Amino acid sequence: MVVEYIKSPLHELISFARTGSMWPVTFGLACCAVEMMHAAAARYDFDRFGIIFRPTPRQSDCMIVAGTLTNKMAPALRKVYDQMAEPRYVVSMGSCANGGGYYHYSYAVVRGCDQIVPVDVYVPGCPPTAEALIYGMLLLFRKIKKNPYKPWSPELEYPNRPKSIDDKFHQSKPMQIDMISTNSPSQGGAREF
Amino acid sequence: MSKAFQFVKYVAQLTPKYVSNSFHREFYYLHTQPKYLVQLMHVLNLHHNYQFKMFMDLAAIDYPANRDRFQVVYNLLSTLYANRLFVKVNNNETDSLPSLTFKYPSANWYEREAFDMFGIHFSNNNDLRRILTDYGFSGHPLRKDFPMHGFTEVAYSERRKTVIYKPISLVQNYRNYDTLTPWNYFHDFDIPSQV
Repeated sequence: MVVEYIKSPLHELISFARTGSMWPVTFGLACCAVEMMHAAAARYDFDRFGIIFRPTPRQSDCMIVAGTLTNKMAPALRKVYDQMAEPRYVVSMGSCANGGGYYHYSYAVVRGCDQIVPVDVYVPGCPPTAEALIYGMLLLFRKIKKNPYKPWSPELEYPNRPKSIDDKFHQSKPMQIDMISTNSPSQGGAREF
Repeated sequence: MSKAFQFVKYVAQLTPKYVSNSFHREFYYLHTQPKYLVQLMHVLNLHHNYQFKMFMDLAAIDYPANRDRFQVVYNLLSTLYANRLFVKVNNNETDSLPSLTFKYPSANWYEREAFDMFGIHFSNNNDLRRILTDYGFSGHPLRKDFPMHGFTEVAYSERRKTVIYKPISLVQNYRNYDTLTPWNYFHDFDIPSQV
């Protein structure tokens, strides 16, 4: 009981601090980035929510994946995400980032950026309007206010969910062929591992 | 005698062996063979009446039914005479085309793109890497026998802590559509909701 009395103002303070100065790393990949700029510019003005774009992963709290995530960009996106300090949040903006969108059947596009990073909020649209992105950020704030301490993780919300794609594969058959991306172009393609 | 016909006739007379076909349809087109390509480009670049000093574009087309599968189209511009010229070369899958990077350095990226997308090899190009597809990509996407969705897809492996390629799976998840509307239009009746 006493703990609850101490905890709830602490909750409020921490969630107030987290949601009051949410600095997203700018990850504009395609035309969604233009709508993201609209949201940041004077008409919709992200600044009044304390959202200031911070073009470095080190000092930013969340990442707005705005646009088509290609296979070539996927390792870079993951690297930027890994460089962010915890707690970190990801907002997937637009159809392409949500699930591949128009390029779902392309050979060069990742079918949703949740294949690469865990996503907190999906903003639908092609591209979503600036209002939609603001609403998505407010949903993220609501999510943070519920649990201001931990970032989203699949184990928290879906305890029965398979942990990763590898585990999903292991359920059907043991992994025998696994192609790892190599950085040397002289390798001439994906090699068997 | 039109100006276009004069031009084509002059090219054919000057280099009868190099030009196998030529016609004019809004632009000038020359057909040549891969073994004469460098010589023909040399003439077109340096001859006073041509002066095609700018390499504008290189395009490749895949005709899988043809014996010579690929057709490569070079697009040249003569800034002095304000002329554009298209040089077409047919090339099969195994032979390599001569690179033009020593004469036109700007041809490098176009040749890399043709190599990436079609698998056309250019000899004497010392920087023939892939240019558009991701590092470690295998296959040539713009060939007609390449499926649109490719063979692999990319995902993050929690176990390896890296982004991996895995065989493509386009299986759609089972979906249970709830067709009952959440809005209660009939206030007088109690509609049982779907479980």
